[in-house]
Amino acid sequence: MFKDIIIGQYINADSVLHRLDPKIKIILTVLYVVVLFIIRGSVSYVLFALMTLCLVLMSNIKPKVFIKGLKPLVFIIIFTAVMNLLLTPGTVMVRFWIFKITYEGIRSAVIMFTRLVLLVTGTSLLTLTTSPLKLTDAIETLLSPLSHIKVPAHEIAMMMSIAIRFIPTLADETDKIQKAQTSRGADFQSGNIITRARAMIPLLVPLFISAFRRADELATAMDSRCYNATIKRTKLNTSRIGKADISYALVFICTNIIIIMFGYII
Amino acid sequence: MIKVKNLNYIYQEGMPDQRQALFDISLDFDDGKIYAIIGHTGSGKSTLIEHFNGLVRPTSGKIYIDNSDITDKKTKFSDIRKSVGLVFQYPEYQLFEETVYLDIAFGPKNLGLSKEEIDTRVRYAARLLDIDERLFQKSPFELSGGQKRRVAIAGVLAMRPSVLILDEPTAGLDPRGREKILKIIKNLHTENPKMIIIFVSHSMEDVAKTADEVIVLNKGRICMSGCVDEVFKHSETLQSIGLDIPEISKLMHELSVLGVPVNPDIYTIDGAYDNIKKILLETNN
Ligand SMILES: Nc1ncnc2c1ncn2[C@@H]1O[C@H](COP(=O)(O)OP(=O)(O)OP(=O)(O)O)[C@@H](O)[C@H]1O
Ligand SMILES: [Mg+2]
Repeated sequence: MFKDIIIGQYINADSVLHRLDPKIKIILTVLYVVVLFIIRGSVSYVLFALMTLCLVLMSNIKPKVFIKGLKPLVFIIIFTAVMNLLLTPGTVMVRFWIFKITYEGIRSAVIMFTRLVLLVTGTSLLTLTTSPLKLTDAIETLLSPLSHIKVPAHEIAMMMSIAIRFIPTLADETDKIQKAQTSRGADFQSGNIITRARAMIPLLVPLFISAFRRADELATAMDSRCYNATIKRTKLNTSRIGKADISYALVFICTNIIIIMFGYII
Repeated sequence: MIKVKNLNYIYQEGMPDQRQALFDISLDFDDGKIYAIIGHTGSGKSTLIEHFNGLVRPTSGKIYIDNSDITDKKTKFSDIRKSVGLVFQYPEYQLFEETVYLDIAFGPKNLGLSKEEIDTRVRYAARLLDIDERLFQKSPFELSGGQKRRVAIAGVLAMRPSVLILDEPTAGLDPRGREKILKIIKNLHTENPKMIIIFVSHSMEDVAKTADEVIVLNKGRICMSGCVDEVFKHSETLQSIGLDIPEISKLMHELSVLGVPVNPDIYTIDGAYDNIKKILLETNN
């Protein structure tokens, strides 16, 4: 089940998006999310979706990967869309049993669905094309001005990279413990929600214990190498923003402005 | 009896990073014998034994346990797991219950046995593994590493399997802990003369001391198999695939190369002792 989660997963390939400076990429992703929520009108949405499709194609990553990433969220997306469909008041179109479907309901359900799908796709574009190391590095740089107002930029970045580093380890560990408990007759699949939740105990207890043990060991290892968060560090690989990054950012921003404009003109 | 026929296994089949871990494995395990599986790291030992209780389905090939085909889609896994007990590498990391007793009882409880039956089985397994009943009400996390491991093995044994498989049961233990586990395996064999015991090991000394038959894996293929004497005679082959032969074997080899008339095929300390003593007595006379 852990293998399906693609958030935080990086796919090594070569593309314009892979080469783009990670700091710019983060800023543009934030911009992408903001624009997604301010655009109005179906033309804007269609254009925005087309732009996302272009980005996906530019990333040199198979569209299959993005679809796989949507899978764990299908339930939430459908649920939100259905709630919008049934609960929006307005001009009634169809009526059945206690439900009535309104024109506004259909509209907002479609918009919600599109927004969520685009949101997940757009943000996974960032994580799929940026290695975790570069990503946390960039976050640290972006946060560093805030360290003047006591935001622990370096610590946040360090915690993030450790967390990302341990996702595959824990997934492996889960797999192993699950196999071991299955051989002792544990059953994780059948039963109602309550029996299933109880069946997770033999999995979760050893998993937590091992996670704490690993955390302890890592802390000791860092301590014994005199790790100190307050020391000013230089970086092994510094990424500089180049001309290509700036032109890409400009094109992206202009495209988005045009898309927003469409919503207000038409 | 376990029969493995032309077993192949591929990890992540169909993905770009697919990798074949087992190639055309055919093996027979007879009742009442202790088998050791040895091989360099990554040779497919763990993958092979995970097939025996249905955790992993073969990509192709068949596995029969007492003549029933466990690769058949219709076979119920709960039945396989009742008869095949699998102890994983570092089993102490699966302990989770509040007390030692409850942890050992987890397996039998999953089999749906009565309270009395569970109790007998827990006590039986604890006795075989030399776990003091005074430890029953302790938390498993308060025990020492060796004790934890024995509790974990007891948890599998309490299911009373007819086949017991242990993945590197002595890994990471001190010499005394190793001895203890090996002695327990031997005892288990005397108490259950029909049980098939299979253990994975890196240590040739452990194999020499405990096993009847050895299976040597190399890069997912069977390199050699047979009784311990036979396999240990091929020390060059063993060393060429990155395995170490027992220290005492090396000594006997060196001696025979130097011209001492010892038997170079001896691999146990007791055997070497007798052999050298005999030679010394002969030369003295
Ligand atoms: N979950 C997995 N996904 C992909 N490949 C795997 C997986 N588990 C094992 N492998 C590969 O299969 C091969 C056999 O692994 P296996 O764990 O069976 O070796 P082993 O003989 O038990 O090694 P060790 O002595 O280190 O325990 C290795 O090359 C390994 O890289
Ligand atoms: Mg192994």
